[in-house]
Amino acid sequence: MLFSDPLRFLWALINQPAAGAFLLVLSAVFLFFYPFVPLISRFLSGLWLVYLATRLSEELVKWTQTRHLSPRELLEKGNFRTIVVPLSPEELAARLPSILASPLWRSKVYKERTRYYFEAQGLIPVQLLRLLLYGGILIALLGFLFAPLTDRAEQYLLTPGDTFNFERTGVSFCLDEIYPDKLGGKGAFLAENKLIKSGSLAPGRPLILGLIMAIPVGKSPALNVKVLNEEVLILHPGGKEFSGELTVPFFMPNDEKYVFFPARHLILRLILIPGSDGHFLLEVFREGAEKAELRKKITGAEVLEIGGAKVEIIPTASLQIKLSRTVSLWLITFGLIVAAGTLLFWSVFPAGKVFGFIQKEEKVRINWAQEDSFEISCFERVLK
Amino acid sequence: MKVAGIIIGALAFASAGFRAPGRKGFIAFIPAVLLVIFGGKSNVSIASALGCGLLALFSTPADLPPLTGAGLLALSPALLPWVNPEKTDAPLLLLALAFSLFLAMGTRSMRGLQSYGSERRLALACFLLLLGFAGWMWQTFLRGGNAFKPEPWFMLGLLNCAFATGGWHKNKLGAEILTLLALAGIWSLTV
Repeated sequence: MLFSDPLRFLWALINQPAAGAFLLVLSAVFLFFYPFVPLISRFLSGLWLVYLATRLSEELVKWTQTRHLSPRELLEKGNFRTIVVPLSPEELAARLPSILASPLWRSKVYKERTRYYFEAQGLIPVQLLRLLLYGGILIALLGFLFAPLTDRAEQYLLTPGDTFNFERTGVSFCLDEIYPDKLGGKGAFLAENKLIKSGSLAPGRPLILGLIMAIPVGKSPALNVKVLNEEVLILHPGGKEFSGELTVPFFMPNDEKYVFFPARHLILRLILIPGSDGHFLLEVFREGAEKAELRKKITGAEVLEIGGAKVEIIPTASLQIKLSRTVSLWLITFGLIVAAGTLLFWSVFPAGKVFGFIQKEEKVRINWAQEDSFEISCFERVLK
Repeated sequence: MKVAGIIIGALAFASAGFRAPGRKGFIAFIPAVLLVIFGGKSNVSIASALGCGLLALFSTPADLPPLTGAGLLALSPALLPWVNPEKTDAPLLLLALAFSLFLAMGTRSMRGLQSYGSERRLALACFLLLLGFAGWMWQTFLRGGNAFKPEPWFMLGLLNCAFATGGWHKNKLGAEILTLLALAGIWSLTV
């Protein structure tokens, strides 16, 4: 069949629950190979999509074909399970309606010739539960697969007063304050320079604007350099101009930054001293000179006379902010909750149709066939 | 929360012990006592032992010895050297409960005990696993901005689900593998 009718072979191969279990094992095994996770997880997600789409269509067809059938019409030729009970058929027939109790089951017990029969329907069709379970996982997978298209994330190192435009969203984020003792601060979302939302942000408690979130992910030392008049200052690397004040962020130990005073032909060289708990080395050079005019370790706020200007240098901090728009996370959460809710419902409430009869030979037995793949526990109550 | 978990778990095992006659009932007091003594060292242990304890409470006396064994295995992370007692996150505790259900089912099947409704409990374990995963995904995202970093428990959870859906736990070897996977899952949560 593989070569004569490959489509049917493929359908038969994936259209069975064992294929799902195999895919679960395959997914788990490949996740151990961490470097290949992004590639393999997408390949496996593709396989999952094929499997789930097949199962969904199969369940849908089965549901449309069987939903009008009575339990007897559906299950009379099914596989029967059996349980021996220590009661007479009449006693059992009298107890069955209370065992298959309303409103969890819609049941009826009747006698044909000498034999008692019973039919019951659970709260929800089994096919619908399967559709919801597979559908929930399918939605979660689609969210995962389309994440690169729907989601955006950018990371910035911000100091208080900095504003960054979150591209293609029309929104910018402004950091107002950094908490001195912990990771976090206060910030605001702006659109066309108008305040939309402001508030505090900390790990686990981001500032949220619709689907956009601002999350603090790191904190690093910084120096605030202030000149008492509105003198132009240029920060290198980058060459960005500031008027009278700027905050210099440092990414890592030994990180070097330069502040140029063009009016005074002076250069401030600032270095984050490694392993020093936020101490800096300041060197002042005259433009073109190789030897520093001033060399000083900055451990706290200082006011220095540099080239005739009073310069205030204050150790502070910069905050690493991740701005993200995550459509996929909501989609995945929705899918997982649908799948989890379905499993909870399935594990607690009866589902599907049941047909059975009471048989009396040497012993009295209940024989029944059921749609639900889970064992039905209510017949156990007869034994108690 | 921690103290409540210990008290409820210990009471569940003790009550299950009172319900069963003789030696079977007596051994159920062992995890109850150990939970009180060592439970405080790991929140994951408390959650997983609590799961086994509640299952023991609502099971028949015949199920009590394997469930007591599962409870002792669930408590074992409290004695592991790499345990991180600070792990208190709600999603991790949900995952620990899920693994404890897998563990309890595995140890029951190893003893050849298969009563009606056990498959529904595995579905309940899968439900807790999904809920725990969704919670973990949000928590890691809100804390660090990244949601999809595969961790060992995730893979072990998938393997447990595969065993549950494949019905392999019904044979003895499958039950042993399920028990080991669930135990490894509980241990990986404590790192």
